[in-house]
Amino acid sequence: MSDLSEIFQEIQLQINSESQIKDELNAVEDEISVALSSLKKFYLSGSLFQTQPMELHKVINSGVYADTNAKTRVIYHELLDKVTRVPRAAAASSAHKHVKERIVRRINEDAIYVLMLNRYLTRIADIFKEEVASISQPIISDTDIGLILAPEEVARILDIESVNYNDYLMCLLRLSDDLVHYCTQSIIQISIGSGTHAKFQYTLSLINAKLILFLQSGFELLDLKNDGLRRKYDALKYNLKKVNNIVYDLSLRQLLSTQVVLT
Amino acid sequence: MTSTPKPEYESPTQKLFFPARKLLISQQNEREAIIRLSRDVTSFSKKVIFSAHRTLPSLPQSISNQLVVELIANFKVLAKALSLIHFQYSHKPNFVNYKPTISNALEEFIEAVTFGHYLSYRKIMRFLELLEVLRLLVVSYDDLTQEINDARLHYAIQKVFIGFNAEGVLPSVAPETLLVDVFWCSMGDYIMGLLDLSGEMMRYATVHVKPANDEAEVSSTSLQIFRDLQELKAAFDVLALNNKTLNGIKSGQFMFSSKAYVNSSWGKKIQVLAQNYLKVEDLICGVCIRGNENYVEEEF
Repeated sequence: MSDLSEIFQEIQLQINSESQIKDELNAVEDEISVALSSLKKFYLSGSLFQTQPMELHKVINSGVYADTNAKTRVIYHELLDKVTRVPRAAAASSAHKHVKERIVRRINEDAIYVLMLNRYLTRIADIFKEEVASISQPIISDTDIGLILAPEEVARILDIESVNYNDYLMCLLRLSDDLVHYCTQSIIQISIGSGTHAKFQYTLSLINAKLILFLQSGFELLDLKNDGLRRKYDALKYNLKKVNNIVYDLSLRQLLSTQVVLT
Repeated sequence: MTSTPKPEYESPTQKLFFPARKLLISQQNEREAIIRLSRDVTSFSKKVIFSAHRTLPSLPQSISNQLVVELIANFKVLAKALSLIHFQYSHKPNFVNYKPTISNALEEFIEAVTFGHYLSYRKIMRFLELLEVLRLLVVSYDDLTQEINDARLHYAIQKVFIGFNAEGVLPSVAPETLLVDVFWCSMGDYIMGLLDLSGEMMRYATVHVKPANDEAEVSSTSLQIFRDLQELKAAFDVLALNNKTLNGIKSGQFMFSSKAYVNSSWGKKIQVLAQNYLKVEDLICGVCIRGNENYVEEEF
């Protein structure tokens, strides 16, 4: 087989080329990780979740939290540019499309997640600006007042044609983790804090419980196959159970007095 | 991907989740269609391998009419499945998610095609030759008319089985039909297919170890396969040695890592190649020692 050495030379060349592309993509991925962390860090630092609901409006629209939508849009497009500008990867085979696709999905997911969390916290800050007898809020809306950011709103904020629904659904599930997290954190902060408007502020648990129930009933409509989304969805029921227990404990002690209607 | 949903929904749950439900169902249908097509490719590639095994060592000159009929039938199904994968699914946004399924089928297809080619030409088919056959098959099926273009199909088969057309004349195919970019078949898939090819070479050498006449103790076909397997094994050993960071091949993609490759499917396939080589070596050694004793026994 005289051709064999030539065949393996071709293979070696391809391996060398793909190894180089892989290195380039890894470098871009590292760069993107740093940029993404700037997008997420102020939400993940925990300081927002340690703020009582009635204090939230003082924090959410100022300092690093101001203009989150515009900042996210800028970072999002910068990151996408970086991925598409990897010259060798652009001409690479389907194998590298897979790697690029993974990076783009990461960027999508993080951007949507930040926007979604920002929307939720902004609306909560607005609801808890002052004590009211009853709360009535839309869950989703086309006019920036829904507690949950709709896919069309994400597309509009990020200035893109459409949103990848798989990424969007994943972000909804990530949001459910944060809803439980903020629920427990807020109760702790209210309890150890000044205690003013405590009963009203405990209503946050009821709002979050209703939101998680909304997500649970929504995800029940979907035929999920055994993938990352399905695995993440499996954790939703535990979030629902946890937040239901919190609401039950609060109501048992007559600590919930405000009526909540989510439309 | 979805654009703004137009219909009115009764509740927020429906508004948010109905478009998602619709999209997920369409993605799952797409995935199932890909799985079905990949199964067809795997199954009919295996049939081509069986057909190739039924050919005689003197294949280039002798390929029976029965085999010609079999090959045409099997390649027709392959052409249809590969064509649908290419034209209907390869440009979909979620295609990367289906690549593992397609890669498994492609490995079997590459094994079949390279095996047929090896028996015909006694050499390993090159990657570019493989892509040419794949392109020919992809353009052989017209999804609109649901018809097979015989000239293109026969050309593809002829590229694999030289004895397919007794006159050895290739049908004419317009060159522009071969411009389709079958990007979904990668060098990684080709290598995995080559590693599988060693198993078929071993089987063929084992079945045809007895010479057609009494000119020697071991048939020249088995001896040649033995030497070729030796070369192939050596080439893969050198490749593994020169690329220590090449951890494996997954879905046709080279995986680079500093970890040892022995536990990956790539590592296992290299081990199987070595075993196949050793099997042929033992077989030929045994025949060399026993000579014609076995054949004498057969007479009783």
